[in-house]
Amino acid sequence: MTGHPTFEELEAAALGEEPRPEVLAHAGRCAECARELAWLHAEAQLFRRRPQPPVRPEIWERVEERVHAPVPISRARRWRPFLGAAVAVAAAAALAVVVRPPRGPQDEQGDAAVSDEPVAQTDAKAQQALDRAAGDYRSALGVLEQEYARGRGRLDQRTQKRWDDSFARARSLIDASAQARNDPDERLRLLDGSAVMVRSLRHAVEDSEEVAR
Amino acid sequence: MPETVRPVASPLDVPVPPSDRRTPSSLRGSGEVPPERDLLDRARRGEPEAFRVIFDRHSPSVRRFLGDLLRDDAAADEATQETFVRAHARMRTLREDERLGGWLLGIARMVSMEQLRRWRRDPLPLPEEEPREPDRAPSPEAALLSGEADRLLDGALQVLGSDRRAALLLRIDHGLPYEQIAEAMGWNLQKVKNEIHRARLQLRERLSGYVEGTP
Repeated sequence: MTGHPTFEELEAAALGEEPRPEVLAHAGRCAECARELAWLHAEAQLFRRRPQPPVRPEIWERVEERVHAPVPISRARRWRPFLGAAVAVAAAAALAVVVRPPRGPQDEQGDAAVSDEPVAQTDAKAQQALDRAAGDYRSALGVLEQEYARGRGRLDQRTQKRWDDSFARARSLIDASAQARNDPDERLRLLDGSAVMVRSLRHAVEDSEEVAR
Repeated sequence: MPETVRPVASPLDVPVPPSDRRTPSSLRGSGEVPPERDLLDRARRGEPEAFRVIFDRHSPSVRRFLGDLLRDDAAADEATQETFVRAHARMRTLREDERLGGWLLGIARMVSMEQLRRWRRDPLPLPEEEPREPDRAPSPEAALLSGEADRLLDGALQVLGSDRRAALLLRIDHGLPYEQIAEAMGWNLQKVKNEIHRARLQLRERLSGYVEGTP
């Protein structure tokens, strides 16, 4: 060894990490390096001779209980408000559709200019509520997809495919509900399906340490 | 002990087929010392005994590290528990080239940071300002020999910021190489070296009298 050893070489020697003989030999004839080595050695001794705190048996007992718990504690997620709003709006829309008065025979006779008005208003409100529900489901799904995209690389290929398919199905249900604008009952049915898919995806994202990491 | 395999969560709740559930082998008490990779593979396959061996092997250093970072025994116990629960859930994310010990200490550091943040939000108690006497039970001889040094070191470590302290402990107390510390801390290599160097300078300033006085 021509020059002084690096600090890391001295440190490795002090910490007992396979010291190179030439480092120790150099320290044997160089007062500066010998002093540094002694410092590092004393420092390590000081740290390592501190007593080891006990690991209480209760720690393992709790770990064991928790890793075997069937349902993980759910974490607060920033997309929750979207889903909450979507569910509320969908419920309102459902109510609007359900309470819509049935059309009587006089409606079909074309004399319902006055009596048709509340029905038309109810339909418009229901449509608006369903539009908002669809928008909220779409937003919630978008946020979930972003969460998923961040952790996707940590999943194996098979799991990735399952996730991808599920997201595609959820999106197609929401799209189909938009296509069914003229059939509120069908639209509601499709949005119900969307809600189930979004909820399922939410739980999956919550439960997945790979995605939620 | 109930056998539970926690599969990677997926949107479609696909149960783990029975063929994937192996009967846990009796690893403890057999005198067998399985290599770490083997142990990890078994734990990943859901063998509870393998995870228990990992806990037995690594919990002392995790608990020690957390005790040094949090300076509160009850909080350190709690954080040790949390560290292993997270490790169990994330076992599949451990890369082939990552060392289990460093990985666990990295999780422990994250858990401790969350605890410190909670303490900052809720001003009671403030462990940094009111350190409790460690509830450790050394032998009388050890207490006599290391009492003075422990006090000095304890005081010197408290002066360091929590990140710097963590990095220094990982290097000196736990012997992690710089690369692993970088992973555990989420820093680049140069920052790890700088922080440990600065921590050492601060430490030396306070310990110089004691260390130079030791034979």
